[in-house]
Amino acid sequence: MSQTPPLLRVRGLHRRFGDLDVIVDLDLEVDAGRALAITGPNGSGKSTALRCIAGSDEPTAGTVELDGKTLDERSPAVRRDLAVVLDDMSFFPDLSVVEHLDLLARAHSIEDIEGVVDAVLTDVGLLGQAGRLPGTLSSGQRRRLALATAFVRPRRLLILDEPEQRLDSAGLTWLAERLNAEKRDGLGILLVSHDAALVESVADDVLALEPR
Amino acid sequence: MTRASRREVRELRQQAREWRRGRADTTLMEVLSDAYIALFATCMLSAMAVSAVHQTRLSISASCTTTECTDARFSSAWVCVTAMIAVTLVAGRAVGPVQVSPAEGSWLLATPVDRAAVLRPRLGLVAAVTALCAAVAGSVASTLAGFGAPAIGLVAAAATASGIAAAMFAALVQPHDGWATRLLTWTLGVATWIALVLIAADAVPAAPTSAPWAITTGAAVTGAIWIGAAVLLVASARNLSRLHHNRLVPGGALLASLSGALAGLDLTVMYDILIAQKWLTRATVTPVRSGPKGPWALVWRDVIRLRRSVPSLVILAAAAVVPYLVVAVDLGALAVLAGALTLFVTGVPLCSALRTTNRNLGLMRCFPMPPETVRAACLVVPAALTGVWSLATLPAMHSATSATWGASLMIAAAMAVTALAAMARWILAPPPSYAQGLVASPAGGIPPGLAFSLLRGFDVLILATAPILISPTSTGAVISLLLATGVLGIVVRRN
Repeated sequence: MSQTPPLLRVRGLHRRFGDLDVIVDLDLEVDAGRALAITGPNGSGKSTALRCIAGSDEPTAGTVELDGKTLDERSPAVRRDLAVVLDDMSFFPDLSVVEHLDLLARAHSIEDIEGVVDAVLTDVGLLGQAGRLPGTLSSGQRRRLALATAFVRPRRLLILDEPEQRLDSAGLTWLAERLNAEKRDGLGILLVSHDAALVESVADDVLALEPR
Repeated sequence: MTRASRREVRELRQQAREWRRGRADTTLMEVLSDAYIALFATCMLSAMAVSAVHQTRLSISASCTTTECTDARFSSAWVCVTAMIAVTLVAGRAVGPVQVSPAEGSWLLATPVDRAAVLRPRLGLVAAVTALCAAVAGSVASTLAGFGAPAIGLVAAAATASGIAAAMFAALVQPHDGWATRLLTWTLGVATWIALVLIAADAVPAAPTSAPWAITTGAAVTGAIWIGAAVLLVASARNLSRLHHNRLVPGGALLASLSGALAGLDLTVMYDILIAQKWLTRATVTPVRSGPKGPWALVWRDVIRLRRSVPSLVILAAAAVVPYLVVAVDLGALAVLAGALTLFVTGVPLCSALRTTNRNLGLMRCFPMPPETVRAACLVVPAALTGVWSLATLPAMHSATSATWGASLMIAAAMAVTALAAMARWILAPPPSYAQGLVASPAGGIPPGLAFSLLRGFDVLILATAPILISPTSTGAVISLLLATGVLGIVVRRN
């Protein structure tokens, strides 16, 4: 009987900056329908690990596989499966909130674009701000828009760097419910978080990194 | 202003002086040495600039021999002064013109001191800077137009007064939403454009063979402009206390951001700041939810952007007069270079999607297609516009090169692709890396190649138009096209 590989598999991930080893031999796996949370104090390499896995940074050593194949973020197939929200997200200054989501939905050629975009806008609580330009949104609303860009497109694996940042308490509750719904839909989730409540309610596995 | 508020402002300045006392980090000798170097550098650069202007005047006098060219040259001085006033209004409205830094806005404007007294030196600074720039513009324009020394002096004086008047007008209407400044700017802009069209069509009044006016008449007109400027200066100074915090701080924050970007010699960051500022003031748009799927969705969004950026589109269209103008002043040999340069400068504002996706990895990652496909999609609309622009200038190319219509069409196409490649190079250039080894300089460690970052885009213009400048034939156009296409391909495909 053949064994199905995990959705995401990381082996021996190593990242060095000059003489400083930020990540040493990191192994992790994320299965479909499960969530892995990476926790740890500031400087322990959580976000660096996420960037290396998502292809935004080049690891010094190690392998990252999606569905048993090397994860190359340049591949259109990988870009279709991977929804990533890191802290480097900003927006077109001249497109409104709804136009951002409409553009991404069209770029991914999804069906029923208007229905999906409206549903996501309602879900993230930005329906009332649909016509506003990103520069006029509050930091919490911009975070919701960043998360919406992940939810409006096809995806099999969500990679989120501190998704709870700048969200109010209602937003945190919504986020936990939304991520659990994503799991129920069979998506894998890899997130970095400092919020113990979010980790407890969403994560099936927790990987705690130590400071270096 | 009351006596009490005068004392309060004086006391505040005295406090600032006392705080600074004993905290100086340079010695008197170092200050004198820096002042000497600054003075020496200013004198040397000014002498070089004056020499360059004088040589250019002689060169133009030698080459501009036809009646049409002489007439156009004479009119160009007035066009320059009109354009200078329009630019002063635009710049004044963008930064205030009276402005304070965010820090000063937080602690100084929050105190109960007389705001007009705090802002009066700022207004004086605005007037002084504008006067300097306007005087330089007026004297250079009239020198190159071939005026005699007295006329140059009068035009420079009139331009200085006009510049001050424009800045003071912008300051006078600063408490309001600025529609009057916008109206005046567009009026002057349209007047400048009409004058350029008339010059290009050789429909300007004939240049006088003797002095264009009596010195006394010129002096009277200049004096009247100075009186107007003085009245506006006094009126705007009396208006300073009406300036709200939110009309003062954004301009200061914008200037601080722009000067920071300029200190790093990164003009593209200045472009980002100006684009962000432009859309921040707009706040909302009417959403458009339609269009094709896949990469064409990006192209369609650029079409929607055009509808929201009508002024940029109008400026691009109006700039098509430049190649005709170059031909009209007997500089046809430079028509391709001037056309490509104009297209590059006026086309860059239409590439905001390319810039945003390129500097924003998080956004680029959201799209399912490779980065080069995203970049190519963001270049489709600018490419179409440059193509239309080059077709609009085809008669000028034909007239400038005396080539066949077929060869002229190829030359125009080469000009369009060159401008597009220059835009892409300017917008997609990686920022200077401070993480690598730095080169020692009198100003401290700088990344290698930092100074050359100012030349990005312009280098492509020179490189790709050189074959046409050397040989304005279909062969030169083909070589030029190949060079520009190669640069475009490399820039778009680079990771």
